[in-house]
Amino acid sequence: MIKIRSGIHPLRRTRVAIAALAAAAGCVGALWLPAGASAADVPLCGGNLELNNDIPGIDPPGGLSYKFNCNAQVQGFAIVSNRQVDYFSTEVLVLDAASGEATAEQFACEGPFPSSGFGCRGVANFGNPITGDFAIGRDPCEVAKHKADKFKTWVVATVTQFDSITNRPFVAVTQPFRLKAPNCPSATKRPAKKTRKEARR
Amino acid sequence: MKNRLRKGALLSALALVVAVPAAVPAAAAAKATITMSGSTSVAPLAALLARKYLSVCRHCVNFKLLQGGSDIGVADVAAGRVTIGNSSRDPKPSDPGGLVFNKIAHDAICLITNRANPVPGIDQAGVKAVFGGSVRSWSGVPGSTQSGTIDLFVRTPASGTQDAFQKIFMGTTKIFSGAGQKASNGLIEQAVQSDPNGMGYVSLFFTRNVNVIPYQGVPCTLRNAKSGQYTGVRNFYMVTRGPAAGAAKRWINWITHTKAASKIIATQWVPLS
Repeated sequence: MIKIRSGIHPLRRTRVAIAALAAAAGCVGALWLPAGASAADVPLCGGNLELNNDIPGIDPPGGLSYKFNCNAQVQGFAIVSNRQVDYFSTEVLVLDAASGEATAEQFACEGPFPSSGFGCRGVANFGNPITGDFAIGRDPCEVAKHKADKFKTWVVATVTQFDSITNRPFVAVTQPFRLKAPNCPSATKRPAKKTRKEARR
Repeated sequence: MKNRLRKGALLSALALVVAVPAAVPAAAAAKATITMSGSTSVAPLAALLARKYLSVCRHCVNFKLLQGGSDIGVADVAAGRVTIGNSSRDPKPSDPGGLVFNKIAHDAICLITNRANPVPGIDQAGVKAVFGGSVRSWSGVPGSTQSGTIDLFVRTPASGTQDAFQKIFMGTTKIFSGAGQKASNGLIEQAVQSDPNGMGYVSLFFTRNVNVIPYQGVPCTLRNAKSGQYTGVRNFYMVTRGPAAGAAKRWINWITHTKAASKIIATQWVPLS
């Protein structure tokens, strides 16, 4: 028999402690921000995944295309997934933010496989979308048994920023940004339940 | 009796708990890692082949794929930094001794221009004139719709594609020193794609967004490369220090001797036979 000493359940107590620690870490982090850094300087990235069953040499399912951009010049990035990554395109295109056409910017990707992801270095100017392919060992549209097991992918970028006082460039690493999951074909609809009247007939 | 049984079960469970974590690192350590560096032309093929090999051999190995260019791959494998150096050029007399160049596939090198400038064809004399720098204006290229200076894009000296281009297309004619140097196939493709006056050469895999110029009257296509009609074809190698051994040997044998590998190579490259 487990005795609970206080009125709070131990699991809940742990959660409260983690939340408090995170808040404290956030405060300390805010105090440690370099002089001149402000909220406006925080680099942001965002993007999405799309199913790609047309990657030559990759049998579907598992093929995906990623597309993201950042509000800063990108010098490198890593794609990280909670699924096993077993292929990635080795050269990645950078599109022009306005026209959508390919630019002279580009990334070369390297890394281990199978693994949780891969890294790419090159350059993409402010806002230009970066687009490439990768493949995972499972169907990206496979329905997860638990919410925590849902297919997720993040991008972490190395970006160039400018000190707002000296205007000198410096390199920063962004937080992980989650890429929007691919649009999966909706599961076959269950037949509507019969009403009582229909059941009686 | 019941107690004894319970004790036995408890001991077995304990033994399992102790044995499993001890066994996991041993199994992980037993799995070999094949590291590859080098050619940016071979890299896309190596990535596709590795995915298939992992599923066929049930994740018997781990891979690590790096790039850098053929010369980097050859230097890395010679120094023992990687298991395999990927090379898209033939062996050179200046390469370190003791290396084995394992041929894995053939690849076509295509001459490319911007889509706004669909040059209908070029012969070897024309390629030598343009890439050698004796013809610098589009008005000197028959069939070109552009005017003005030709913006030439070539590969950096560490590139196998550069070496193969020199041998196959240029012979003894030196490449124009004023050409823009790019570190990868993708960068050449993008430079030409975004420059109406641009011209360059790339592996067939990198020709999706540009105009591909027929060479010696033969279009640079996979079919023509396979049939042997297109002559701008070079070899892909996986270079090992001494004869390939262990996991690397099994991997290279799988690439060169199985239908599954040939099927992948045939999607955009030319299998050995």
